Amino acid sequence: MNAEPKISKFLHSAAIRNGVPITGNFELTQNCNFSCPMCYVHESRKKEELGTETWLSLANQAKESGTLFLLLTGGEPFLRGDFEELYTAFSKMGFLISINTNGSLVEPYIPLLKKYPPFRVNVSLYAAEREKYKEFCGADKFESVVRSIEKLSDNGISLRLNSVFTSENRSQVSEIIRFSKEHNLHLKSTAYSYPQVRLGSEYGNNKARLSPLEAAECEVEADLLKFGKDAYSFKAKRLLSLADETDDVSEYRKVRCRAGRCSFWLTWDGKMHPCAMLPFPETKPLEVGFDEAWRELLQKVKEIRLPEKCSLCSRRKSCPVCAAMCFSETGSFSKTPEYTCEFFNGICRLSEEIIKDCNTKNEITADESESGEDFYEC
Amino acid sequence: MNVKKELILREIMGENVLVPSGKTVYENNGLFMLTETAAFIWKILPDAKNEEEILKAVLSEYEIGEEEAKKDIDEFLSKLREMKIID
Repeated sequence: MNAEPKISKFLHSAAIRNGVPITGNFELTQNCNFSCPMCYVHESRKKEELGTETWLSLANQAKESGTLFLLLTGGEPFLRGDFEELYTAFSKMGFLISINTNGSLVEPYIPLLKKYPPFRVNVSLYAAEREKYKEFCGADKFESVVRSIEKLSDNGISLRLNSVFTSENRSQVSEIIRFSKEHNLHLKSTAYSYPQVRLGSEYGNNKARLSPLEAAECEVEADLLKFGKDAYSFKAKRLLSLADETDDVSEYRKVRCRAGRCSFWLTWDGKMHPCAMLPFPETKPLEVGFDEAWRELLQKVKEIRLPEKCSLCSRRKSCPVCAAMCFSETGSFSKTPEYTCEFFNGICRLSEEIIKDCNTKNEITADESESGEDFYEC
Repeated sequence: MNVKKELILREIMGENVLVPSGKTVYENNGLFMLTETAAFIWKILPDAKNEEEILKAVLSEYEIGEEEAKKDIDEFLSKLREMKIID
């Protein structure tokens, strides 16, 4: 069960209505001790990061502007020498904190996390066998990561696994899912990788990713393994429901997710973006102050117009296309990203087959909440 | 009154949100929304000696009948006792 609590949904909707940055993401560092092929962060990119006082000041300002949910991420956030100081201060400020980590450096911090338990620790897991893990991440850390996962669990710390399936770990999909089930952990996964535009690669380019049709097959295969056929049919039906002809299509040209509407991303060097995958628009809280930077971002995101073609598509209601996909796939907000289009149409075709094959249309009894998380939640 | 758990009251978009902190996160991995009166009580709770004092404070702050105020206070305090936040 990992459906978002109602209170969080309520606060996010209210935040969108009021233009309040209720969710913050702090990219505390761009350094990482891993080098995963699809990622925009790589070990070799050692960079000077913002100092402790600067992060504390940004956090205080964010709090004053209404930030409640805070994700600490990187790079690998536990690489920061002042992690304990920052984390303790953020906890005392009254944020509900989540941490994204590869899990390899977390062990010494377990007493700290026990003292100030985070809302959740998200551990990335891209393989579930030692050799494959090493090959994928460039670090022989599988066993220590597993040990940390088990210790965090034993200490009652709320955990989730995150995974991205690429051409490099396609063969590990069932192993990763088996691992999550054996450890009784929710696994959030996707077979979609964004182009690494933050690494300076071309729009639409991510060498490690699967072809759109392979990614669609992988996505459906993973969901079937996770939820089983009956529960998947619930998802499939929602996915295949076509848009209402009377929809106001102009709404579909606007940004509809939380990015830049009630959520912001602060980069390791202090720039504000709508989300991790969208380096534009960009505002500068270190120069103009947090609140002003947020107001500017809000305004700029309001002005974004997504592709007309997508707004007229009969699948517009359930398609995952977003501003970050358009921008990173095509270099423009208003061009339909073909990769996403093929990926989603592939998923729809496979879902139709499954529903036909399943033949349980009237007898599905699975709890919808099991498969009820947003299909392409960021 | 002795408030035993670490919770932080935040006002966000005019809503009073009680955020679990420290070990409270273990026991209640979520948020609480408080009404205006409940948030007022929460703020005076550590300094209040007993329910009588809370009642006096509520009556002087809000235009509310004594009986209604008593009922609100009882409800809120028993919720907090249930969650072992106060004795």
